[in-house]
Amino acid sequence: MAKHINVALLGNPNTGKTSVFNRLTGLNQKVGNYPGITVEKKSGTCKFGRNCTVHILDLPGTYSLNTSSIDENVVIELLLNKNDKDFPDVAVVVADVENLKRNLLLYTQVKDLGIPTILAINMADRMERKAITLDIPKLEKILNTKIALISSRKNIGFDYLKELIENYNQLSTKPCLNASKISPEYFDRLRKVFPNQDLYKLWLVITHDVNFGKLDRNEFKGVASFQTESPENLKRLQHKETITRYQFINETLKETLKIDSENAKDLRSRLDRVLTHKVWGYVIFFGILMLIFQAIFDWSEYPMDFIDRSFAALSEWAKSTLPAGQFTNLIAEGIIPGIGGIVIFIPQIAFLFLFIAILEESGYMSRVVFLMDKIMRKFGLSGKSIVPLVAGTACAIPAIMATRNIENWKERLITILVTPFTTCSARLPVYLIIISLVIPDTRVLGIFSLQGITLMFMYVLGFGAAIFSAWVLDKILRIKTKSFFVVEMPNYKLPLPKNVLITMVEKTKAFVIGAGKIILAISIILWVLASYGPGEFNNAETIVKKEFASKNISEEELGNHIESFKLEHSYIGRIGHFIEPAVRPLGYDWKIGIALVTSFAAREVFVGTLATIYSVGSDDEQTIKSRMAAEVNPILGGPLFNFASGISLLLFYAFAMQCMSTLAIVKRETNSWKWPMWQLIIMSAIAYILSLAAYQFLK
Amino acid sequence: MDLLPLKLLEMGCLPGNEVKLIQIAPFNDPLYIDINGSHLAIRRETAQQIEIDLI
Repeated sequence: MAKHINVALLGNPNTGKTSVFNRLTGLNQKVGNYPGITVEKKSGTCKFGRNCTVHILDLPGTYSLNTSSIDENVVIELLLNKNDKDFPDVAVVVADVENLKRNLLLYTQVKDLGIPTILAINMADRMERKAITLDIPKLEKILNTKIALISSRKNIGFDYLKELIENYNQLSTKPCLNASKISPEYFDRLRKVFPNQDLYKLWLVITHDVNFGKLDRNEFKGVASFQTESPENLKRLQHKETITRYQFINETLKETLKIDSENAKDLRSRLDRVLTHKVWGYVIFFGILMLIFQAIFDWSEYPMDFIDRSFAALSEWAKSTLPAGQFTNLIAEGIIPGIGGIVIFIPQIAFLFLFIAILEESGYMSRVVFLMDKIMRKFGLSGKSIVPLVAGTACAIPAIMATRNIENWKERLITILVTPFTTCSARLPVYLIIISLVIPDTRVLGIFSLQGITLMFMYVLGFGAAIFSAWVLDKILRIKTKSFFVVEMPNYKLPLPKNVLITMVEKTKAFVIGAGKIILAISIILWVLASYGPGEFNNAETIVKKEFASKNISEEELGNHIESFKLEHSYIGRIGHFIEPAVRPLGYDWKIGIALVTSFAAREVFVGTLATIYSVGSDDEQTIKSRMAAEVNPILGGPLFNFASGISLLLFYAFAMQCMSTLAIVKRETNSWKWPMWQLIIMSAIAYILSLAAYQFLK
Repeated sequence: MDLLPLKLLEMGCLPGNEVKLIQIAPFNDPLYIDINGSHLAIRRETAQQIEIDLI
């Protein structure tokens, strides 16, 4: 008969739990979200022999069952809910051999829930070098379970671990610790009220209510009414629980663990002396940042160009191969470029997550957080916010996904809200073309190009806006967060290529599927709005032909004029005319208005939209530029793109929230439309006011 | 002791243990400590809640 085993993988952060998961499941993984929250749910399956399927759930890393974050909450909700379909038949607690003492705390808690619990001691390959000896049989006896010594790096001990999982029903379910030991008097009272309940579970439910609230518990009716202790007293009891457990662990390890502490000067302290040094620490960190920039801007250019060309070619091919008609147009002009618009981000996102995964895996990220915390805290951010802010210069989408490392919700939310201010790569083409149009190509002090300085200023402006608004948000947001700052400084480790690769692939996939759906939908809507129109739109060809009948122009030019006429009279053109009164005070005409509207899907659409409107017929930058330079302001005369309107446009693009994908990802990460809507409204309002002021002042 | 966050206790910061200050971050905060084999970085405000004897 086929056997099915549910396994829950638990462990402290930095114990290599995920590598154990990767080893056990290979690539048979599924990453999703727990219903209603944005905590990542990783599960996978593997086969033991022919008849035994094992379903493994990789629970978020946690130091104990007393939860303080939404991620940890997932752990306890599962372990207390027997009716959950993922409720484990057997729990595997992964521990790091070098931090056994701390790791055993979680083990004793899980074990006390009456779930068969295997202890998997990871990084066993380091034991010899660190002169650690363990008396496994004795430890098994005291902890009342089976222990697997494993090494996910060297692939040692997994066969035995699998064997233990398969025979989980031979494991004892007796608790390690008698809960009454924490406070005999309190637990006696509990027992009198709930004579048939497991005391430790009851205790967890009660304290959990105090700390976190709203636990789904059918089994524990009436617990809410059991209020005999003040929250302060319960907290004191929790402290006592922790201390009692550590006493047990200390006694246990005294008999079973020996560390020859001769080699105190290990790699960690030597590396730390350099990497967290008050000068070298920053130098190295900024060096690494430069490398990441280089990868994102420079190296990913080649694959991005390739993707761009391939999709353009695919579009052409579809147009010429499929039977002509609106449906083909939708595919060739709406769907294929839409998908291309998603795929083109893959290289940058993959590079970014490659580096982030390496920095995380190696243990270096904790040092950066340590270095930056004091500075960032002044602005309501955390040391951990530095990663998203830097990543935001590539693209806000992966950057916002990277905020997940920030445990404190307020600091995380502020980081999410301000990250879109940093100058992302989509703004770059817009900046480049406008700067080259309105900023004179002269040199300051003989060496610095004025255009270059302007571009640099735009980056500084974006970063400054992010920091400043973080400071403002910190003052006005009233969010109480319980978590506080404590960062484990793990041992340095050489990242496992397999782990890095899996993280990179998973994150990239999450982007393509999550944000991709929205980008695709928007590009289809835009295509429809630009391809259809009321009244004159449908007679475009006849009207334009009549208008140019007397003039001698080539077939191609005529075609461009027809396209331009169509766009002006399409729905999107109507929208452009409709909003013209609103954008005229900023120095723009209806054509720029359309570009602004389409830019709300993605900023980089700006150049392409203007290209279509000015009927250039190609995306070649030089031709668009000369065409834009020749454009005349219909009311004031003179060039439309002058210093005043150019600066106004630059400011608008620097501040406005013009990116549907970012809004979508913010919605996903904050799990509400409230925050992205505020972002949209406030950022756009700031952009409008600043552009208005700049134009009116400069014109 | 009561003010100390539970998490710190759980991470191995227990009464009676030896604390070693490894590094102070630039601008004097946070502190990087080794307590009972746990290497942690905590902010100064938290560290102030820990009572220590110099040895």
